[in-house]
Amino acid sequence: MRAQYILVDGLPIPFEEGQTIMEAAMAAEVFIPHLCHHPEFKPQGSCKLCTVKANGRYVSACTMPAKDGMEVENNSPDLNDKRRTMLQMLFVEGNHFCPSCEQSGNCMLQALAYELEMLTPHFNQFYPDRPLDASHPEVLLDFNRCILCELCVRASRDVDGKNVFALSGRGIGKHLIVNAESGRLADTAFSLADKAAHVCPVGVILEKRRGFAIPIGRRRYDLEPIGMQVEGQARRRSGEL
Amino acid sequence: MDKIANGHGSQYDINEIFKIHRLLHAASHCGLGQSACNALFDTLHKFRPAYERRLRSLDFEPAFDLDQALAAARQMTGRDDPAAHFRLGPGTGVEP
Repeated sequence: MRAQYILVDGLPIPFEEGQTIMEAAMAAEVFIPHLCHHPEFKPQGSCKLCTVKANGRYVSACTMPAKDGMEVENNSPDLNDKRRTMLQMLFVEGNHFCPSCEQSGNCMLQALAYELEMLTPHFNQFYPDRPLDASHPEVLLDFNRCILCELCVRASRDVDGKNVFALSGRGIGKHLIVNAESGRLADTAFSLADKAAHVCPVGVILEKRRGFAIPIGRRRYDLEPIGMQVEGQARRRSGEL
Repeated sequence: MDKIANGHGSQYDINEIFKIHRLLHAASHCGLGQSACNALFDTLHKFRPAYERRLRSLDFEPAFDLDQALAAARQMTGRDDPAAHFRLGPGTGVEP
């Protein structure tokens, strides 16, 4: 049987049966912006940042199975405008103050805001009141930065088998909680060795006594923009760089 | 919407509503979100004059008034002839 291809912005990308658009694009090192997707976890399509136009319809690339001959529009002004607006909404919904954040430079939200050229928050800030949880001896939880991607929820449930995190509430009242009678992280089985302690794409789950181990300016997305990290690999391989 | 209802809106706010409508259409999880803005969109589409009557200005409101900013220069040079004014529009030599 001949290989199957999808066309992402006109570029043919091979895929295997059962792969989603996101998986095929990642394998071919084509960058589709995303926050809640992680290659090791089951996709859930909640952040909607990976919205692409497949055969003329808006779909989430991380949940849409690739089909042979599918024409996918990814890096277009229309889609990037929408993604930027969604980022702005995420920024105003929480308390995202990059200059004072320990994760600045390692944060996917920040990296994508730079990538998609988000210059202002545009909307009115919500300034929610979300207390920290510093009860755990090894880990600090700063809920101010949560974007509800559910990666820690999925990691703790599916990999660690501990079910430490969950989302509670609905609509704008939705928030991350800790599954303990007291609601404190110290009263759970959570430990720094858990997968869940290291999947947060923003700066909610922070290791204590390790702040600024790598100085700002030399961190992951300081060195190279997030989009280039994916596409740079492809170009290096084909010998362009 | 409150801004328009209170008479402080401009064309910008109408466009902003359209932008959010398009985003809701494209990036909602389900039909509920996709159709949430439809009622608003339809009233805007079919009864636009009713909205526009409430706008402060049909044009975009510039935050910066160039003619006003030139007032100090006019005073210093003692000029107040039409050529010392900056007005947009036909017959003024400055096309918008």
